Amino acid sequence: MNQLCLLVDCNSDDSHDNFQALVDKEDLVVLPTFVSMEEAFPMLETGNVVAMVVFASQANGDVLRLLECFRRCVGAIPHFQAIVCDEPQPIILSQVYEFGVEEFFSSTSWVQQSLELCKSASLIIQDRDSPETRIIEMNRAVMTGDQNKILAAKERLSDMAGYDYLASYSQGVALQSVGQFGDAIESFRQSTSLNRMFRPSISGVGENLLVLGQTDEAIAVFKDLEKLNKRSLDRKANLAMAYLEKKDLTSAKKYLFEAQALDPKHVKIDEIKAMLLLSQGQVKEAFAMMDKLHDVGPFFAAKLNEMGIRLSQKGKGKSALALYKKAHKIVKTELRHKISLNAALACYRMGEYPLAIKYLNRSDKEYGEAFPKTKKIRAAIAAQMANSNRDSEAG
Amino acid sequence: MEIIKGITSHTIVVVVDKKEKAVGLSAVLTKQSHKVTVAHTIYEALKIIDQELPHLVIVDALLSDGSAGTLYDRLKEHKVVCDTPILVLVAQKTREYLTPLKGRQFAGFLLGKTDVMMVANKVKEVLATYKDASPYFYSLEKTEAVKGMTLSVKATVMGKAGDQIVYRSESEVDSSAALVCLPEKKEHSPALLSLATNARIGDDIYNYFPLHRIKGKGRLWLGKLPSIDDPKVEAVDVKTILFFDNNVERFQQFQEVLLGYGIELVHASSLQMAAALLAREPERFNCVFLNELGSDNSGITFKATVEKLPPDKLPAILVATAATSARSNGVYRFLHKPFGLGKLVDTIEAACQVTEGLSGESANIDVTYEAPANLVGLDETGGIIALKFPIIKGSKLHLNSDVLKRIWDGDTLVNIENIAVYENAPNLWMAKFIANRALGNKARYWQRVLKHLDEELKSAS
Repeated sequence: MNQLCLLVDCNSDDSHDNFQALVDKEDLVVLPTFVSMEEAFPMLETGNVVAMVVFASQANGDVLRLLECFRRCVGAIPHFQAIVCDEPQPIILSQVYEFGVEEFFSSTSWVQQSLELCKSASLIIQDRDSPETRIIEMNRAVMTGDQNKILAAKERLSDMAGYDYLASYSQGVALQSVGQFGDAIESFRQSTSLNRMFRPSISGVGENLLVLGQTDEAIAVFKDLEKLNKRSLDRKANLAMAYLEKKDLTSAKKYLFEAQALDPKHVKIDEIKAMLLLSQGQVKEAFAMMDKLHDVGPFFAAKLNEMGIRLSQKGKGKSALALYKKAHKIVKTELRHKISLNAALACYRMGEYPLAIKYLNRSDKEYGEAFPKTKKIRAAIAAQMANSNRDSEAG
Repeated sequence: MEIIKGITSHTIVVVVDKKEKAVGLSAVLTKQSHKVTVAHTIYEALKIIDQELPHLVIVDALLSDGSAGTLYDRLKEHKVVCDTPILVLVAQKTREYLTPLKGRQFAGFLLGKTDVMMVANKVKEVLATYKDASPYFYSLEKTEAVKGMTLSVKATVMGKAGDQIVYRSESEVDSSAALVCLPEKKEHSPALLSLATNARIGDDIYNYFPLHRIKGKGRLWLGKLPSIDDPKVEAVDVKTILFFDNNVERFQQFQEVLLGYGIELVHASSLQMAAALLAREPERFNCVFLNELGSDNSGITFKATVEKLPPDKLPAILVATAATSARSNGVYRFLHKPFGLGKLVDTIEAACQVTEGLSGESANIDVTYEAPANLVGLDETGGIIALKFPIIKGSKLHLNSDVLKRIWDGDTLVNIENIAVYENAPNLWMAKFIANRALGNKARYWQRVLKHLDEELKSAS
């Protein structure tokens, strides 16, 4: 099946025709497709894109969000991406290098170079054993959220992780997706040892330290990265979250404002704001803010789960359920099964067994097969229902 | 595939009676990048023509042992050189000069006293019909027989120097080349090498490749190589770079971005200023970075300063350029724009690294660098290949193809004579090579090649 290479925001009609004429002469597996910036995002999410060339004179919020979207939907394959820009400013070089991207085409050579990119991507993805093919497979597994598929894809990457920094990075992403944060850190560290210049793996170490509660270590990692690029929104957001965790509101707000100044439209800004509101007990306002969120990562998801469990344990089952309903809508696909599981537990505590079973079924579906923890809850529900049946019969 | 202009040097045989005429003509034609051989008699000329297979012969109408007509007739008898164009210099429009030329199809005449510039223009006109290839050029582009050809260079893996893997090889490697490193022993897996930097220490050529850019399973054993860093050379935490950029805002951005990598910049807002700073304190800088090096006055000043500095005090000079044809040499290393941050940092770090010494016990693992190459065609001296990266002029390498092995009796060594890039396609290169096997008599060599090609193509079809 053909895969796509997106050519995003190309304005030159002449070169466009020239390019198309060259493409028609080739037998490509990766087909170039011209799209606008708006069209590029949904196209990436379809799972048919493997490469991308972005026409951009500056690394504005849209371009960076697009690179982020590529990394999430396709995978961390910097050499399958390029920017068309004649004299990129050093800040732009640094901004896109945040994603490992370092291929720049000039406006006079992009036709030939984009064609070469499509040709080389075509050759690589036809090789089922290439690291790139396996990275794409793994990322597509993460997009489905199916934990078994993710682990199987991670296994296929493991023999390459010792010598390929992108494979070890992607292994870290897989491990993070299945909640094995400690192992994810090891994979990200391995990737860093293979390529100390690849910032995403260093960042991966920090993000997972944060989830594991090693906040000071995480802050140290992010601050080291700040020296390389002071304009990464993602990093500022991570630092804001870390300081929130440490209850250092002043520092958290400082990084939030700095992040906001970089791209006020970025979803991470709302995520930190929602966390900030929650930490200050402004639940209603936080809920309103959460309506704007999507693809929330493991750190915030863990916070929401924790909060739900606390509410449920305090007997505020309905509030917990409302929180889970909201959380389920906004977290990344691979994190949803845990939210469903916790919702089932809340229902179980409220004695709403049929609803609990519904949530358990959803959790299993999202997990990819029967999630081990759901079996225990099902057994407990069955026991409770048998008891109540006996009681009613006795009555 | 269109042959790039100027890639082929045309061979011209000049047959004139007077030595001074030969000197004048040779000088102008050599300046036009032609290879010129001189003869003073028809006898001498026939010997040279058989040896060189010239693309054009310039001959005086009358010589001591015959006329241009005699030469024409003798060439017509020869199967290989019968179509060689002949340009005749006719000193006088008299019967004595003109009668021997009658009834023959010469490529042109130049009447009267020899005007060197007029000859040069006429030469240009005659050679234009060859469209930048040798007249003997035999295109193999549509031939399946040479598909899958690779070029290779013999090399030895030495060890690690900082974050670089050091190889000693027969050839310098361009920074934009991607080569497969194929070890001789099976216990070592292959790896893909890129972003090379070169150094010459004595007669040896060393290629440095950043370890983190090495891809493939071979990365495992390469990463475990011993260190051959010179222990006397202290590693520096912060590298000081003399940085020329006439755009202050851009310089400040570079300063901010590179500081994170331990690279401190000293600003020169003009090339003159860079030249002055370099002349004053060459030892202060680990490397020099120039954002363009023009050929105007300031560029000339800078180059003159560099020439005056003793080589052991001269730091590596990196030049960022938009000119696609700029090729690195012993002093200047070009970084083609637009480039990414990783390439910039790696290039600066490698430039600082290779100026430091090598020591320690080397691993000495024999390997071959290999890369795909397309054989565009063959000619009487060698041929033309197309590549996705440039190779350095003067490189000695092997062309691996069964057909070429048979034609060349197993001697696949070639020497790169010229290299050029396609305009608007900076990743497509063409290289003219001289085959080792073609170094003798070209007429005999070419007849042999044609015979083989006939057989090979027949069997392929």
